[in-house]
Amino acid sequence: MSRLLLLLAVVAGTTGAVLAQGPAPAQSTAPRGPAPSLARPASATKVVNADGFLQRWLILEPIRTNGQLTDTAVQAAIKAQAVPTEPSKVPRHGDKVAVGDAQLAWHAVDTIGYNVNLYHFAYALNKPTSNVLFWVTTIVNAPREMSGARLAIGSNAASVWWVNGREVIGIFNDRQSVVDDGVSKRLTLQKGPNVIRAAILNGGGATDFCARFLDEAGLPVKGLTVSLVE
Amino acid sequence: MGRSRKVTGPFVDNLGIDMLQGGGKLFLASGGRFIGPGHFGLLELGDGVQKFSMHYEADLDRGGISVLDIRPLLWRDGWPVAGENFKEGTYQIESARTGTALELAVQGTPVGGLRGRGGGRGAAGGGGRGAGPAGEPAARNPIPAQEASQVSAEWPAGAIDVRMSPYMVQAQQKWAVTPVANAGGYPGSPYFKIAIAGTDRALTATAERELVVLPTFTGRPEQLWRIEQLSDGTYRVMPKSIPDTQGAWALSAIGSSMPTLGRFAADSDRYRWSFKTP
Repeated sequence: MSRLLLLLAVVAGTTGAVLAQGPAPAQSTAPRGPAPSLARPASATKVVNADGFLQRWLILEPIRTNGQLTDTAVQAAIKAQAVPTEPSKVPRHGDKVAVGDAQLAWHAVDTIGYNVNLYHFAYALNKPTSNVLFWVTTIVNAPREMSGARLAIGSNAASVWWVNGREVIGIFNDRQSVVDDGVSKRLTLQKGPNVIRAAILNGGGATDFCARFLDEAGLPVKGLTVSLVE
Repeated sequence: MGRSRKVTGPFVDNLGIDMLQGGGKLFLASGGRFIGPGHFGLLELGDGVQKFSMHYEADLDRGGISVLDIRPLLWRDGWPVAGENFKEGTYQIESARTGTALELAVQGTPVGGLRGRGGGRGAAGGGGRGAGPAGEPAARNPIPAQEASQVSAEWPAGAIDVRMSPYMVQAQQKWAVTPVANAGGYPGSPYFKIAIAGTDRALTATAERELVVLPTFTGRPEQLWRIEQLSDGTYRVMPKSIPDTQGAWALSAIGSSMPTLGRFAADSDRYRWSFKTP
């Protein structure tokens, strides 16, 4: 084995999961098994974790994009691939959306980490992970009206976020998921359900996001619960 | 300068030399058009902000009369240092919290245009990187600075948010800071207008204690900015006032990419900003 072949073998061995997503080989579209960091919700509600992160989400199977992540390209992709936005129309697990010729399904997930690994999500479904747009949504229940709160997110890569139908954050370009990378202006969480929605766009490689609410002092808001439409 | 823990001395300077033995350091000398500073007076403004008053013996621009000045008081290694009042200019405004720069939230255009190294055609933003006359080694050609007039046609016409991003020497990241006449001031300085260089798009505080860039400067209090040097040489930036809001609110970095207004805390880098010349 030449040194070059040996090097290629080592690379393939260490990044096999990534290489498996390459566009070249035709492959089965059958699901590959459960995502290691995600699970189907097993309870009606889930309390935010100790650091305030929202760990229960509905995720729509990825939509193909051109992979561009600039401000204008992201906004154009979101406009072109918009899904129903009314807070009253939060989807359910298993609902399907027609996107082009495809029927894409919503999936309810709990994440074991602070972040939601969209690469795990898509890979497990045998869906593309590069040059894609993920729609995600969840419902945050506040025990009382909370003014001065901020949605704080990180995403790999670009993302745009809405709270109760109002756009509150947009971060663009190829970037790593960093806790509290994008922070909204002050907003008011209404008592009861609040609908959070986001579009996360990835170019290539890993893709994930995290989200929590911060209070006026910049500390995580605790005592929130997350639920999905039954 | 010399100092002692006892009023009876010995007073020693920054090298530990007794002032009776030749020690001592001048706190502030003449400079510019001002001669003979003296009569130090401490102004304790709270929140970790200190200034000092003094008189110059002579202002050469005013026939040599004695004039009052107020300047920031800084500290280095436990010794007072005379700071400088903020001077107008065009700046990169960098957060001490993140190291990134305040910018208009618009899509940037690479300086010199999109990649055109080797003489390729440039897009908006300056003529193509390295573009030069035929036959001339392109890499040797200086790339001119990006002006707002080259790229602002793509910017929305109305109010635009602000954010923080790595500084890329682009037009939406360069701020012209100019004193505003007849708008009052604070110890040592007038209020300033902060606008995207080459435009009238002015940084404005909102009633929600957030920030926005409005297309025009009207001189309203929420567009007048108090810029004061802190003891470490960085600056605190505060609006003159905010509609329907009491208290002192300062430009603050929250998270990695978001500026806002928060209650100033002297011990936090969130409220510290550097003004760097682009």
